[in-house]
Amino acid sequence: MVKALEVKSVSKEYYTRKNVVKAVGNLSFVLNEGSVMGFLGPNGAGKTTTMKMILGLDSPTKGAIKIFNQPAGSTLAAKYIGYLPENPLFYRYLSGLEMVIMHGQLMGLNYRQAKKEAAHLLKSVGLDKAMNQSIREYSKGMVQRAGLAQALIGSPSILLLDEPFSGLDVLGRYEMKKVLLDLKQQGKTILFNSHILSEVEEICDEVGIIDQGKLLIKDKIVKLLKPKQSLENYFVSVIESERSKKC
Amino acid sequence: MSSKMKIVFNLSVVVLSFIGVYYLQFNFDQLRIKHIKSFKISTNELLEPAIPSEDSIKKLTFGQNTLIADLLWLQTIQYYGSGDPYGKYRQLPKLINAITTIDPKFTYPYSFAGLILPNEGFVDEALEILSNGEQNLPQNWEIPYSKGTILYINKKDYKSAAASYSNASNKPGAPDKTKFLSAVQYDRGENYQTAMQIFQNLADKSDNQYFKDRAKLFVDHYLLLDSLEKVCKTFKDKEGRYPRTLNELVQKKVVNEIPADPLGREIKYDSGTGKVNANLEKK
Amino acid sequence: MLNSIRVIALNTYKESIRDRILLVLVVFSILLFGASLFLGSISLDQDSKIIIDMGFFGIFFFGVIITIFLGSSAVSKEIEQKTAYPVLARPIRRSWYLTGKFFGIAMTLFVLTLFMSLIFIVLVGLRTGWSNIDIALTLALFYTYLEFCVLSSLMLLFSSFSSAVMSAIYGIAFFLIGHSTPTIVSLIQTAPKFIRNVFLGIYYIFPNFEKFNLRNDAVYHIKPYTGEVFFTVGYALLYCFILLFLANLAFKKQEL
Repeated sequence: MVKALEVKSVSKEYYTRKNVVKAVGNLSFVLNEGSVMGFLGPNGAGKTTTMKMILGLDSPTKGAIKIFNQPAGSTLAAKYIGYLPENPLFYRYLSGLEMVIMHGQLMGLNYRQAKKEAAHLLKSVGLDKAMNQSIREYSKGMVQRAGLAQALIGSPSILLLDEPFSGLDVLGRYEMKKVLLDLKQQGKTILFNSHILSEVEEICDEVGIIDQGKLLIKDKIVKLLKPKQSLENYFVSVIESERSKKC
Repeated sequence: MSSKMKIVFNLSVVVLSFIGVYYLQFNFDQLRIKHIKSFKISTNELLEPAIPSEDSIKKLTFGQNTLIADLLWLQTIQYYGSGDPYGKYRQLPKLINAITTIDPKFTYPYSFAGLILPNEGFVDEALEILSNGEQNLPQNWEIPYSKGTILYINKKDYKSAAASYSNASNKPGAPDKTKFLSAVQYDRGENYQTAMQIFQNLADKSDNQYFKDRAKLFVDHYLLLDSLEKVCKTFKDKEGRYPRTLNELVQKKVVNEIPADPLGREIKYDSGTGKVNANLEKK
Repeated sequence: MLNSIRVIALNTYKESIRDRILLVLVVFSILLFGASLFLGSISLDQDSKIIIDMGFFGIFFFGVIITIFLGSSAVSKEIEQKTAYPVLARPIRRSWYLTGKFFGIAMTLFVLTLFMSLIFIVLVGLRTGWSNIDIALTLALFYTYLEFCVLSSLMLLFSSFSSAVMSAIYGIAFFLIGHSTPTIVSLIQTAPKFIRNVFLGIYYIFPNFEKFNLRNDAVYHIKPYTGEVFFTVGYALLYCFILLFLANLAFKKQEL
């Protein structure tokens, strides 16, 4: 089994004027190639911080992260990654097509290849009419979809999606789910944060539950849920029991 | 309220408010004028431009020297042109000084200073500004020319005026009038040698017919006085004394007649020294 | 590497040049040209000088505002609004990103300065005679563009460690200091030795923007010495490099 993502004993501490804030503490997990993992947790648990460290935007205080055996943050690791941020804001005056082409070029494609692939991707997320309009004019859902196209260009092996369903209406969520399941079929590795547990349950093989910087559980969904138990129930029970332990 | 009434209502609110604004502003202005009248100073005095000192202004330009000089220049024009009822224009020299300090090569203010400042009673200030101009624009003939005029008319300092005009005439592009006027001032200052040289030069070489002719008249004038003096000397050598009057020369048939002065001046004769001159009356 | 820099530069340029705010500023500059025509007519025949002086000032002043705006928002706004995240997640080094940003801004400034300059040149030529368009005037415009480049690399430096608003404030402060050379020099004369050395230090370290100011001479058709041009261009290039180098050091360590 190829290890797509390896997080080893990662901690992240922020220093404020008064004290030290531990955003993430001693986090470790492995994501194998081809798996789809949902990263769950209450707000402020450390999901986005972890994702930023995987992307190399922040560096861990302790520990190491590897993507397909390349250190996180290096240009070699970045070649494997496609990233969709939460509530993305892209260059407002570029058109959707121009933006995705730019990302394609940054992934190493030449202009023609990038343009071809970008047009194709934007069509597949339903933006084929709007791709030449400036992003300024896009609705929230359209921006989200353009963001997905941008994350997919260059055929990255691992996708990191931060709240991919936010801003999408019912139809949009359905489309996004279809795309993700499609990608899963193609053998891509996906890690995403989400609050919409019903979608997570449908798409993911594994879940990781994180609270207050600590990884509480990480395992295959089938193993964790009792029969007829929803992921939501399970999640709430885990968090509550962890918090009651502290009191 | 129906939508039409709403429009009328909103419009009335806006219009009435602006009428109120107009009323307040108008009365504010009226009060201002009343108060100024009671202080007994002109609006210009209230609004006189406050110019920082030479030192400070050099530091405040942040490199935009020519532009700030332009703005000060426009201000100068407005200030002078607005007609100060007290006729003092106290800030005028300071304004022009500020302009020429930060933009020394700006030529027009120097000419302006030379023309206008003496009329408003700022003769020494004008001369100082023009002297700075001579340093900053050494190739400019108009500045020493202007200076010469002020020295002549306002200061009656003929020697300095002559020197200034002469200085002007040496600059590139200086017209013949600078030479001519320098000679005229030398003449007034009784430096006849120099005057004669310059007039002779003009009479021979000038391209300007007017000055050529006038210069010739001066040359003839000096030649006349010179020859009269020589005749008197010869008379003294023969008779042992100078003639009592110039007419005696005619009476004794030494000369046929005493010619009229080419410049139309009165020829004066001192029988004690035998000197002939035709100085203009010193006023 | 060069490819990534080029891509970022081009897209930064496209994004900046389409920004409406820049259009407004350029329009204001042209309005200033118009005002100079009016003021020239009431200047007692000094219209040549006034049109040239005010025209220069318009290009300079609005160019500086555009530079500060572009430079301060280029990096800090993108980080604050998280627009930069997907870009930085790509296989590029942070230094390429910064360099690309710089060239993108420099390109934008070049196009805008060129546009304003052409209007200025046509105006001056038509109203005051084409003989006024000489080497001195063109060099003055070129030097102004050099100043914009140095200022924008300064803005990028600030932008890489502080917020957009603070970068703008620092930029304005450094800009004013950089133009205060005559003040500093005169203060040097009269102060005691220790303070004199401090001010001398300030003079040499802070970017001396006054050396890019040929406008006072250009209006009198005075050219700089040929050798001087090399020193000035070299100063600009070296300074841009230093500031971008420092910006890169600051940005590398930045937690996003």
